[in-house]
Order: sequence, then C-alpha cells, then structure tokens
Amino acid sequence: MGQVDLENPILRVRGVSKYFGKLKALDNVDLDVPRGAVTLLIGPNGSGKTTLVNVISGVLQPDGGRVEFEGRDITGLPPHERFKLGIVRSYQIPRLFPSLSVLENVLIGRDGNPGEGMVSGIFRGLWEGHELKATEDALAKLKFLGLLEVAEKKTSELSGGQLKLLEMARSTMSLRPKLILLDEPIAGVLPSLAHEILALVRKMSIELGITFLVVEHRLDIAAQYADYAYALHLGSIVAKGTPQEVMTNPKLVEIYIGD
Amino acid sequence: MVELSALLIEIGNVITFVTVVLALNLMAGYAGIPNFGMAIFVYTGAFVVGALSVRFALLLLAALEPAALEALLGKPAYKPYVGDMSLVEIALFKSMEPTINRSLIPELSAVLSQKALVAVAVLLFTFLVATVLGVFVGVISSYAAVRLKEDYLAIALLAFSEMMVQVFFAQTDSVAGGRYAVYAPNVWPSELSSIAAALPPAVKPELKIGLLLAIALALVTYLYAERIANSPMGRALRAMRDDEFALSTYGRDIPAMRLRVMMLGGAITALAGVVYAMSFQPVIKATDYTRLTWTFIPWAMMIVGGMANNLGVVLGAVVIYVGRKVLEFSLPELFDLLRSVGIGPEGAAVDVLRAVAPNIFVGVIILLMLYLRPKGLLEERPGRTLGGRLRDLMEKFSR
Repeated sequence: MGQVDLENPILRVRGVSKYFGKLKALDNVDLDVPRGAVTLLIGPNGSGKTTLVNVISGVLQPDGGRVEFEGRDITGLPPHERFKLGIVRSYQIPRLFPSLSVLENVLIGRDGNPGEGMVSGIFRGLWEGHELKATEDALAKLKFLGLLEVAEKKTSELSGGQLKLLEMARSTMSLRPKLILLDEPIAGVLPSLAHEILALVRKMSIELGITFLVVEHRLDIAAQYADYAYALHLGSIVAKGTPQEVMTNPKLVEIYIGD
Repeated sequence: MVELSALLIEIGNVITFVTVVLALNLMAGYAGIPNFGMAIFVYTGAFVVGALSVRFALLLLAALEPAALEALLGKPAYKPYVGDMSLVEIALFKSMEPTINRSLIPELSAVLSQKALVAVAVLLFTFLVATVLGVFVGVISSYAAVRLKEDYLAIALLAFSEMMVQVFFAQTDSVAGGRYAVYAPNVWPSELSSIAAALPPAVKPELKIGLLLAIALALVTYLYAERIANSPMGRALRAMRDDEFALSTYGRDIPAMRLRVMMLGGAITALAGVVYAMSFQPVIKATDYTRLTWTFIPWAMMIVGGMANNLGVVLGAVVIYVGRKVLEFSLPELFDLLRSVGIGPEGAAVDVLRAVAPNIFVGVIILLMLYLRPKGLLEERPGRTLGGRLRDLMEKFSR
C-alpha cells in the first residue's frame, strides 16, 4: 500500500457531534480522508459509523463541528449538491427503487443525463447518446458483479447479497466521482465475492484516482485493500493509522474481544 | 338531434377527464406528487374562459372596434343596469353580473364571429393565459410544500385547493359568477364555424370544434406523457416517487423536480378546463368544480386504470365515466324492477339513491380493484429509453 498524504486530505471532518435525544451518536469526531486512497472506517455495531456517513453525505446535519471537502466548508449543503461536488454514497441497508428494474436502478447512479427534463425528455436526439453510453457502462458493471441475468428484473426479486452488489454498482456509476462512501459494501456477501468487490474498489482508486471511505464492521477482510484506517467506538475515534497499526491497537483489541 | 348533441357532450366530458387523468398520472402516478387539488386547476381553465376572456374581448373591441362595442353595450336589455358607465368600466366590473352577462355574452359571441381577427386574438389569449395561470397555480400551490414529505404535500395541496375553491364559491359577481352562472363566449370566427357546420354530424358547429380540440389536447397529452415515461426523466420521476431521499443523494434536486412537474401538470389541467368550459358546459359556475368531480373522480380513474401507466389511466377514465353514466340512466328502470317485486325504494329515497349511486359505484369499484388488482387494470412497466436496442446490448454483454 502506498503512502498517504494526510496534510492535504480531500475530506476533513472537524469536531463533528451528533445527538439523537440524549444519545451521543458522534462525539467531537476529527477525521481526514487522504486523497486518492482507500480509507477504512471500522467499529462495532452502534459505534456511529453510519451516522458519520450520513453527516458527510448531507443526509444528517451535525449538531456541532464542520465538514470540509476539497478545502470548502460543505456543512450546510443539501445531499444533491454534495453529489454534484463528487461525493457519492451507498447505503448499508440498500435503498433501491423498488418499482425500477435492476438496470434502471444502476442508471439512476449516472447523473447529468440531458434527458432528465420535462421538456428535453421528449427529444430523444438530445439524450440518446448519453443514455446508450450509460447503459453500456451499467451493463458492464452488472456483468462484473454477476447481476446481468437479473438486469431486467425488479429489485424485489433479488437476494440480500445481490441487493448489496446492486447498491455498489449504482454508487460507482457517477461520471466524476471524487469521494465514494461505501457503507458496509461486503456485509452479507460471500467471502470470495467480498474480495472481488474490495479488489474493484482498490482498482478504481488506483486507476481512476477516486478516493474511497469504506465503512466496515470488521477489519480482517478489508485491511489488505486499504491504505489508512480509523476505528470508531461509542461515537469517538479511538485509533487511526495504517490498517496494520489499527488492527494491532490494544484499545481496539479490547473493544472487539474484551466484552 | 338533441340526443346526438347530448351524446357528443358526454364524449367531450370523457375526453376532458382523460386529459385531466393523464396530467394527474404524470404528477401522482409517475412523480409521486399526491395532487389532491386537481379541482382548482380545472377551475383555473374555466375561470379564464368565463372571467378573463370576456373582459379581454370587450377591452380589445373597445380599442379596435369601438363602434361595434357601442352597439353591443348600448342595447336596452341591460341599459338600466349600467347607467352611464364607461365601456371599460362595464367590461371590467359589470360583465360578470348575471343580469348583464346573460344577454351580453350571446351578443358578444355574435360580434366576435364577425370579427375574425379579434376572435382569434381572444382565442390565443384564452389558451395562453390558461397555460400561464396553470403553471402559476402549480407553483403557488406547492412552492412551500415541495420540500415536505409526500403525506404533508398531499394535505397542503388539498388545503390549498379547498381554500381557493371556497374563495371562488363565495364570489357572486366580479370574479367569475361564483354560485351564479356566467356564459362562455363563442370565440370561433364565422369562417371556421361554417367549415365545421358543413361536416357531419348535424350538431352545433362549436360543439364539433370543441370536440376536435378536446381530442387534440388529449392526444398531445397522451403522446407527451408516453414520451416522458420512456425517457430518462420518466425513470427519475419514478425513482423520486419510490425514494425521494435516496434520489437526492444521487444528485437530484427533489423540490425543483417536483415544481417542474406541478407546473407542467397544472398547465395541461388548466387547458383541459378551458376546452371543457368553452365547449361542453352550458354555463360556468365555480360551484361545479368540486373536489368530488374534479379531484376524487380523477383519482379513482387513475387508481382503477393503473398508476404510472398512461394507457391504463385512459382506460380507467373511460370505465369509471361510462359506468357512472350507465348507472345514472338505468337506475329508474332498476327501481321499477325492484318495486315490482316489492323491495324498490319509494318517495324521497328515489332521488337520494339516484344522487349517491354513481359515487357508491366508484367506491365499490375502488375497493374491488384494491382487492383483486391492486396495481390497476394495466400495470406500470419499466421505461423503454432505448427501445429494441437494449435487447442488442443485453445480448452483446451476455456473450
């Protein structure tokens, strides 16, 4: 794994706190996501990982602190504007569009389609080229993830593992993604496929220069594909460093094995 | 002859409902915007015909053809009511008063049929203003609410429509007749009327023109809705309906998308209201545009036909409309039959049953559909953005 540049991170989270009533889901979290690398965010269930992803993607507003993307404060931006800046996310429990086909779900991940207008939509010539390219890309992704056979089925006909894969396909469709947040992309997926997915993440990061923040419950499978890692526990960052350092951090060993 | 006219008017009504339901399906079926305020959009069109086009015509005549207008307004029929008011004042403030409106409109129609240029201008004005107002009502009815979740949006739209309707119901004169009837001017130039008169069937030419117009509007709306359904926009709209929240994290501005759909749906519905008020209604009364007729019945048509299926909702509109009419006309015979075996309704119950039976029919058919075919007569299908080319692509990738 290469060296990571923590001086000039693509995403900087500073002092972020989030409360749900009296529950402190995030407590003064500082986190830097190094550009062009794969960063892991691990932690046991209920440690606040998804809450942090929600704050970064704009789905939740923090009660304190700020989020900076490429040096710009984006704390108040709505989700769709963060997407336009290049922040894409997937959901831990796949949030797919149930009445759309599998292929259509993936195509939603491709933004900037000129045919998405109440007027431009009726002029086929304006968007056919874009649509054709997007469909080819989508089918290529579905083929890679073994979903080509179900491309025209509705998502209700898919298994839990297939839904995770579909979520993965959709979240990597954006044309100019800079930071992709993957919320537990390999939970509930067969180990062999989990390795393939993480290898794809690694490959996209190296070849396309995309930054990934991968949220995982466990470190063991994911460690070899990551450059840097954070461990979250009860809403606070308890360890950070290379995956090896984090994995052997005594605090973390205690958290996972201690109880 | 009379019966043929009546039948053609019923056909005109069905076609109006088809257009309204297609617009509703675009908003509610595809985009998931629960527009429980459809009535106000239809009334917007009727309002433009009854209240605005008349005033515009009078003002235009005052500017271009003062002599014709002088002759028109100098008529003794309403001279006592207007006294020595100026022409512009009469046009603006008095033309909707029932006593004046009743005799003014037929004469205005006669003048317009002779002044082709003015008639065409009034016609264009009517359609243009109805479009603009439909867009406007679409924006103001939903601007504050598009940021809300679907349920709240539905309540906001229903409340807006009810509020507006109550305002218009209470207006007895200057706006558009309110509870009293105002008349729609006949804005067709005589040249067009004589062409229409020469064509079969033998009914009033303006009814034939109205029918053609209604068919054209419904057809254009259908083709438009089908195009959108099979475009990337249709896909995005369906995704918004399924999970607006997830779609927003894929870069789509939900409030902006909803507003655009409301503007377009509002304009189409208002245009349907124009044609309906102009051609298929003897008079225009705000109190005719109730939430039952123009909100709930279109919703029932959409649910029965199949949400997010354009052909389905057209079918739903025809089934519900024809079903209600058949029931309405066959009830007296049904009652006779029941009475002959001693169980038929008597006295006041007959009228009550006749009034409510068509609505009970709608309720029953909705319940039956929800049990038997919850997705409607025709189901939603995936959009076909690439048509047959998707097949080729699939084959290419399966190799």
